[in-house]
Amino acid sequence: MTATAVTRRPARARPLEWATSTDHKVTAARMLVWAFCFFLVSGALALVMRTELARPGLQVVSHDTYNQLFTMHGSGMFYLVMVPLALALGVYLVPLQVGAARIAAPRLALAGEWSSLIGGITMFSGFLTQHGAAKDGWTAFYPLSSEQHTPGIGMDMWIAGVILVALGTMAVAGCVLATILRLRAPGMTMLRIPVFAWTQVATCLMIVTAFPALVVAMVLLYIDRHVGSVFGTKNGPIAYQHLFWFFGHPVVYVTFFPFVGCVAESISVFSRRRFFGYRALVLSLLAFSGLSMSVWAHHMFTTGQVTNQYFALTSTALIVPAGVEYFDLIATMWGGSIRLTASLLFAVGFILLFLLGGLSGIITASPPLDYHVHDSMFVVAHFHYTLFAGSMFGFFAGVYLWWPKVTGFMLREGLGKLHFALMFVGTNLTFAPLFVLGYDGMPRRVADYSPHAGFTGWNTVATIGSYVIGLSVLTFVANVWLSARTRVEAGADPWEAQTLEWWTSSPPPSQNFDRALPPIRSYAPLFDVRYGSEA
Amino acid sequence: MVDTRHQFGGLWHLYLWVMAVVVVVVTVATLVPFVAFRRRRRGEGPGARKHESRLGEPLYALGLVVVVVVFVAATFRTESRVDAVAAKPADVVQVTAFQWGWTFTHDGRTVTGDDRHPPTLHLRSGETIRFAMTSRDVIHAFWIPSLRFKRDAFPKRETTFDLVFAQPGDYVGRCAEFCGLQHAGMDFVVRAS
Repeated sequence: MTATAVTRRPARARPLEWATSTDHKVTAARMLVWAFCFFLVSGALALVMRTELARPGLQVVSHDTYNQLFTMHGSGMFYLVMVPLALALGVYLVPLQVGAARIAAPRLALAGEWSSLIGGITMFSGFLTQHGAAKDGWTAFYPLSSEQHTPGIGMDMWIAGVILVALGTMAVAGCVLATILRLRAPGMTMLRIPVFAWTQVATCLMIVTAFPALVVAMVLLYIDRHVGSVFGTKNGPIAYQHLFWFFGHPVVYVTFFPFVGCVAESISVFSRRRFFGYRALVLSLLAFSGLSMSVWAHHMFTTGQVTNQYFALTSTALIVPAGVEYFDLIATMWGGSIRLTASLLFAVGFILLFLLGGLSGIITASPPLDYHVHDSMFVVAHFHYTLFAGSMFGFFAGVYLWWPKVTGFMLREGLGKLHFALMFVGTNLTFAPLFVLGYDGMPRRVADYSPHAGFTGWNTVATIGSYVIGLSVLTFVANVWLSARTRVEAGADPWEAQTLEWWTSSPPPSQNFDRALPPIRSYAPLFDVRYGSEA
Repeated sequence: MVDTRHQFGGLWHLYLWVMAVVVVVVTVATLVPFVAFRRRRRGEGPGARKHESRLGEPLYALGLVVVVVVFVAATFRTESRVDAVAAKPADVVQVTAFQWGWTFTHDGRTVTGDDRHPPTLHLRSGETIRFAMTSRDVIHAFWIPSLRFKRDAFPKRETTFDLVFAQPGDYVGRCAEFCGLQHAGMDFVVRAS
């Protein structure tokens, strides 16, 4: 037990303490802050891209700069925003939700977090080099990414940075997973951990099985660029794609599951109902993650070098676990007692918008349909509906739910609802037109298009939408700033929620729980305390 | 003779109709609770007790499996038609993609274009044309949007596919695999007559 020390610490030591603390809550808070900073930077890159694409002709950037923009936007968003945000929520909440005093292997988690941050800074430092930052897309296909076709140290810094991020991510994921497996409080069986914790189990399992392929791909690419040819054979390029996509598909579920978890928690709390179909959801999460390891070559249908039918089958089969999850999310609301909060609005936004992303993904899972839409703006629309309209909406559902717990004060509901409205409108204005543009023949990763192609109108609409998204993010920042100034105290459980993190103070003390835990008889222990375990 | 555009259209409509129904059902199911199950008074008790569905949910999952089977069967059938190569094509075109343009060799003649001057390939409409394609450098992709077909061009490898230009006219083609600086300018035209 730590005694509460009253000694005054020298002010100089506190930043260093904050940077090196092994308290999982501080590690997570750091991750959330720097990942959000990378979100603002990568988002700004997207705004520049959209500004360029608004009208035909190159008005803002050169082709070379544009190629760096979309590469750093994509890799920034995946490696430095979506994955760290997903994991950071786990690092913060999982020990609390399972009734543990700490995370497993806290120094490893600290090292992993710093590795990711340093990797991210290394990746972006490519912009300062002579040839610029990495510029071959976040996928960096070979031979385009070879030294011959993409010379320059910016590309190498990107490769090194990605390796550091991948290793750090694997370390942190291992700690979160170990916490769930080994540090649960007495009475908390695996089938009583919260839904959010199960999404973290699935996520961390996929990270530790899929990310090694990324490390291998990046190391081999670096060796190819500087030591001797690795991928320069007849089958080298396709081998690179297998390696990359074996990682590259599971990672999109890594950046999806924890946010589905946020949505599930938000819906339970604000429907005042324990989550519906818990066991079905657990089964579907495990099936989903297992299946996700078997679908990767649906990114390679147009190569003519993979067994399209097998991957079409496994990819289309994803409808089953996804549909089960939707059933449970919606069924929790039916028969509930619903309070319309900003968090719940984002949760509902997730349900409606991720649906469009998922369904368009089923279209791309069909090779004859994919032959048309692959590498067009259609698929750009698909993955932005899943990753932004899906995961980021889920993320904000979690933010508005857990903000009081982490900080001790409430966010303003009115501004939160305005944030939602702007983001909902902006997201649809930006990405829905891209479905049409892709179907009509506009490829992706282009800085410009012909004025005679008929692409101009929808591109202009999409650009306006992107500025509305930017405005919505500013609204969130304003909400944070204003709420911090007026500071409405939250208390331990402002929402009358259901899981153990709400049992302790806001923010929690350094060992998480200052008083004995309530009896744990289900996956909603506080709900049981408040209404009885039969409710 | 395979009409890739027509094959695509049939499958696309099947998918789109099923998905339209799903979107309507899910949207209604998601929004109804906000009307039917709103909390009316402060301090109102919890929602309904039932927290799982031992019969309904497995039946529903089975329904999803049926949807998967329908989609996969239709997809497999369409794909085998689209991917089919004829025993004897009416014509053969050698395609070489490069940074940043296309070279077509056909009927003993060679046409080359780049990002400033897109090449025009003259073919006969209504016939099965065999394309044999490779890349000189990095991966590119041959995409004719109005035929709903695309295939990647890899270096050191040749890929073959058949296309039919059912109607006479100009068919715009684009590069659809990011290949570096002038990827946006790698267009070509097939003029079928």
